[in-house]
Amino acid sequence: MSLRGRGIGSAAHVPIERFLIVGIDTRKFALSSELVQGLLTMEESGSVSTLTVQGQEYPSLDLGGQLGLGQAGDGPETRMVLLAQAGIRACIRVDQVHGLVEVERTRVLPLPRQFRSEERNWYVGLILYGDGVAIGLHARWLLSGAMQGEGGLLNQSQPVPLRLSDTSDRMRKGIAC
Amino acid sequence: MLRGAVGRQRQATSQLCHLLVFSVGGRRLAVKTEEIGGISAWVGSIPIPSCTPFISSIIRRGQAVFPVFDLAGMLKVRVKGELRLCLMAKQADGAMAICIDEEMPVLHSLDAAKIQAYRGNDIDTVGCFTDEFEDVPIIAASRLGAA
Repeated sequence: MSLRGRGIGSAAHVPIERFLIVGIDTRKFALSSELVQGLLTMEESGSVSTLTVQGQEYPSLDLGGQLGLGQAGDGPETRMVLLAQAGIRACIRVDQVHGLVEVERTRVLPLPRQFRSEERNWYVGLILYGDGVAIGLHARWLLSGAMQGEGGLLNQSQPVPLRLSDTSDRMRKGIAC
Repeated sequence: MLRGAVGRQRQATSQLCHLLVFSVGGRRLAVKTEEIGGISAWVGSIPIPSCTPFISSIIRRGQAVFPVFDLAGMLKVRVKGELRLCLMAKQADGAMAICIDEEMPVLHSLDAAKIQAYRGNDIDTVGCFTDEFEDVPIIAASRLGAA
């Protein structure tokens, strides 16, 4: 085997992270796929402050508000993203779901050090996505809103199996991997 | 030996400072060339929700991203022109981009002794110099956003 071949082989062992890329306003955000439990259309979710899916409650988080952005709209592409980690569950409303991407961990760029304030706790890094950049959201920070919120849930019950109700072609391609 | 000493003395009395003079919102500013990483066309920035004053976006260059310092916002002006320029400032934490007017920056060499204290307090400077028109602040590019 040539050196070049070994190089390719070793590259395959680079840790990969998967992110669901969502859009709020004009920004793209990346959510770790380990955090994402499912997607619902607005028709399926309705306008409730706490979603109940398969017997599990997902209090709604205002991610746009937490980040100083507007509330996500109510268009045909609007989705509710169900999130859970370590027994904490929540759902966020996004304007659009762009798809699922696999990124080598080394390609998740750190937030430039000139960002010095609270936002350092919000983001895990920056992910090069298409011609732009998706902002990787920190799961712990994201779900801390659910822990603090009125409807926050924290229990150690069994995780909800992945449920992806969105059946559009784009999403099938994006989530199938 | 004596000749060398004279040479050093002459050098000390006429040390040149190399500046790049540019404008933001029509306001003329200067920066030491040693604090500049380059100038290119402005390609648009990607907003990042942030609490850091005047740093709330980035630009992407290939596989790299750089923070953007909103110098125009700090000076309470709006960047002029359709074909804006990007000035890259060198900083200890890495390069930082600044959007500047489309007016082409010019190089300016100045006797360092002519640099005076800047009396304004709207921006962190290393001083200013006076040309035929006005006082031109020399911004401390390496310290922008550090306050």
